[in-house]
Amino acid sequence: MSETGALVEQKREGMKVLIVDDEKLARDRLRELVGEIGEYVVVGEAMNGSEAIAQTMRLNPDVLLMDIRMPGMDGLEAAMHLMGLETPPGVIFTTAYDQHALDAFEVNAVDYLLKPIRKDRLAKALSKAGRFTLQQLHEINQAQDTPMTRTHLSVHLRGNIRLVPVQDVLYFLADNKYVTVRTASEEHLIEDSLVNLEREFGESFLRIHRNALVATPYIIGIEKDGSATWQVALKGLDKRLAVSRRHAAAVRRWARR
Amino acid sequence: MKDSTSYFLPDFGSFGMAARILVLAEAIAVIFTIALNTRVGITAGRDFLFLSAYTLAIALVSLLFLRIASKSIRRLSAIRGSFVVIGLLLIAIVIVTEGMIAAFYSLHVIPVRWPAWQMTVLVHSLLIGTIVMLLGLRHLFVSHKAQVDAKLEQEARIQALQSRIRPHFLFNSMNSIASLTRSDPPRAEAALQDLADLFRVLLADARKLVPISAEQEISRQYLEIEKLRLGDRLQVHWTVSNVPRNALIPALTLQPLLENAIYHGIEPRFGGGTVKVELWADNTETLNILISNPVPEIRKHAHGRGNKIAMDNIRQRLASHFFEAATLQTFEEGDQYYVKIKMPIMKNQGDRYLSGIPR
Repeated sequence: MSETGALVEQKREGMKVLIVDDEKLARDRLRELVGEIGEYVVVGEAMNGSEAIAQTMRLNPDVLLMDIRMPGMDGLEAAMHLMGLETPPGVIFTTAYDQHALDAFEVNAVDYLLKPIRKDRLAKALSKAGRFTLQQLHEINQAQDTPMTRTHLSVHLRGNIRLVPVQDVLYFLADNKYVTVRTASEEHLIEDSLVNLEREFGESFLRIHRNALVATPYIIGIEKDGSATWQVALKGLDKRLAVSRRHAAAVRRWARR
Repeated sequence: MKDSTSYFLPDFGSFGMAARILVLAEAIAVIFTIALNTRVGITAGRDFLFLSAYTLAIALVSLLFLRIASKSIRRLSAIRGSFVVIGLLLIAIVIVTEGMIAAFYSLHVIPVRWPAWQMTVLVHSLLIGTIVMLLGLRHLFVSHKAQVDAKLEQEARIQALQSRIRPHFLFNSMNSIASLTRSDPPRAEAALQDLADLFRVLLADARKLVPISAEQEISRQYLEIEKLRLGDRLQVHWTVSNVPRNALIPALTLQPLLENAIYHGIEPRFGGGTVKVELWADNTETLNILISNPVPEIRKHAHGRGNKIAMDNIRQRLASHFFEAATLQTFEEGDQYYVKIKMPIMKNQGDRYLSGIPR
């Protein structure tokens, strides 16, 4: 028992920490506190979720100290994307206040630190920084006063994370286990279900077929082809997407609005 | 589930309700004994015993009915439930009255089975029962409403307090100050002083009117603290023209609007942005406040409740001082979000705004 403990201690020595916060003073404070605790090395800083992912790819930190509320991609979303890595880093969230989310943190045993951050708490959290599941993160998100919807989708390629902004997506096409994500210039495969995607991004996507969700901002036309089925034309896309008979009424209703 | 704020009927099967109904029945017996007798005596005693027996019998039968029906009543709306309750009472009155007359006849207290006064007694009892029951339901309604109002008022107070002190701002500021105590102690000290001044105002009575210059000052201190956190991401542009410095506005009109603008408009933006504040007077009567902020590039969150609470709170306080003469509008134009307030210029603390209000 004690031998494995010593082994863990040794591994923690020189553990690499990435600090993620949009406020400079908050980052400064964390950097200083981590320095005082010793044993850990701050390898970098990031100002929001997308930067945190890019830095994680580049610097391969062991643990992230990450604020939740940040401009652009926030901390919860970044952690969700990182969970797709083969060996994701540990994440300790830092937050000022959100009573409901904090309850969810407790329930899901996800580490968090309250601002202003205390050195002893930080040291304790770092010493046991754990990993968690996507499900836990989703539950915390749902508990927030205003749950966020992801700004990006993550595509995992050979240990890398490729981020696709949701606002660039033209459509989602389901095929067995995977969903094809189509942007103006690229196509990716993600592991998700249309039902989930529709639930999360339903405000800007329209179901036109059992296996297809299209981004409403890109719709430029809804037309009938020779065989009397409806088709949707999307900006920047030559091919047309077929509307199934079951969804035709809903699509036309949307078009009238 | 029923909307508990408008559903006023109690659980008629409960013991408390039974006790209340029995006491009410006895009270009716007492009232009628007094009404029928000018003197205390044998007759009065007999009337009292008889009336008590009669009203208590009705009460007990009603209670039995209510007890059986209480579950079904709770499934109905409050209005329908009330009709059912009255209906059950009336049935109980008919049963008890008819039963009593039948019993008197078989015990030879009265000579005929269908006395001439039978109809009169029945109609009187039904009328009295209906009136008492309506009063009773009215009482239940009023006392329930009083309870709900008290609860709502308490919730409103808590919300008002929370709309004034956004915990997110408080704790983030403290974190900034904690950071500064090491790197830049003089700035930490200044920030603490600003925070203290701001909280003194936040904790003071928000119903009073203050000179606009004081509100500008507290807003400036607030913005200093936000600038600590947000740095160059926060730019504030003030345009103040021909506004009398001593014009009075409700305390905490400007500051919460700035806080909203920053929380919803600046913080979620990667590059930050500019909050514009314009204050000007139309002739000498109307004060205008226009605050604008850029809307975030990406809207990750549904519109928060916090924003609405703050707006409602300011609207209420404006209305309590200026009635319809003050307005607060919010609108989006291009990529900017605007809050516009118009209010009469008032310079004397003592008198409330009176001119131009239809009475």
